[in-house]
Amino acid sequence: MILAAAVLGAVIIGLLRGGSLHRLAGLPLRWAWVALVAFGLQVYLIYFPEPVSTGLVSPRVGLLALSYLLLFFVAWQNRALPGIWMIGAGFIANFAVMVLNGGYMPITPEALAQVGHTRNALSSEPGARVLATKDIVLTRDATVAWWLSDLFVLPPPFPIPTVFSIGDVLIAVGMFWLVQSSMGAGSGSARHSRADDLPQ
Amino acid sequence: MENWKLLVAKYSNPITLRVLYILLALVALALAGGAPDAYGGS
Repeated sequence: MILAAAVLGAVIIGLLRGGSLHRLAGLPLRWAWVALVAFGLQVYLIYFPEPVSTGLVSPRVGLLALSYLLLFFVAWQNRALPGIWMIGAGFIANFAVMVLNGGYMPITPEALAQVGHTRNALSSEPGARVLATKDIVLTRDATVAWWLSDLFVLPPPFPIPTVFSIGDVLIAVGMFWLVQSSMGAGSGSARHSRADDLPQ
Repeated sequence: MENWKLLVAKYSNPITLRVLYILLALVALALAGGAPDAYGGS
């Protein structure tokens, strides 16, 4: 959810910096619909999860991997756009730590408790899935490449209590870069009358 | 209902729809790559 807020926040900041929605409409984002398919796959997987991760042989993990392959495809097809390489690096970081830990994103019991979602763990066993996330609960000692896992916590009273990874940070920064560039934010040539903006 | 129709007519132009499509795709990319979940993290 925090990443959706980051994208929408980037648009608002772009407008405040003199950027234009017209320019955003002109962003030559190729194969964009594939991203929507990948997102749809993941929505199914996180809202109908298996209780405990059964490892890389699980059909659900296969679908999750497929969704990331679709994301890599979209990133590659749009590699010339500003910020996409950083977004792609974020995809790789998140995907790598998930593959190394049985197909899902590791989160420690402590981090889960800090954001108040312990009740969403579907089992008390190691590798328990967390409802409505891509996460599995693993201790730090049991996590391979823990530094790529969900290790940053923004607990309440932050309005959107959040746990996120280095990969998520890369995606958010890359998105901000992409949106600002495509809106022409901060460039003198982009400044124009609000009448140029939507709707016509 | 009439107001709703007017609103739809006003905003149903190709540029608006293209902006919505791009925004949806960017949000989908961000969420699928990171976190399509209830509380943020991946």
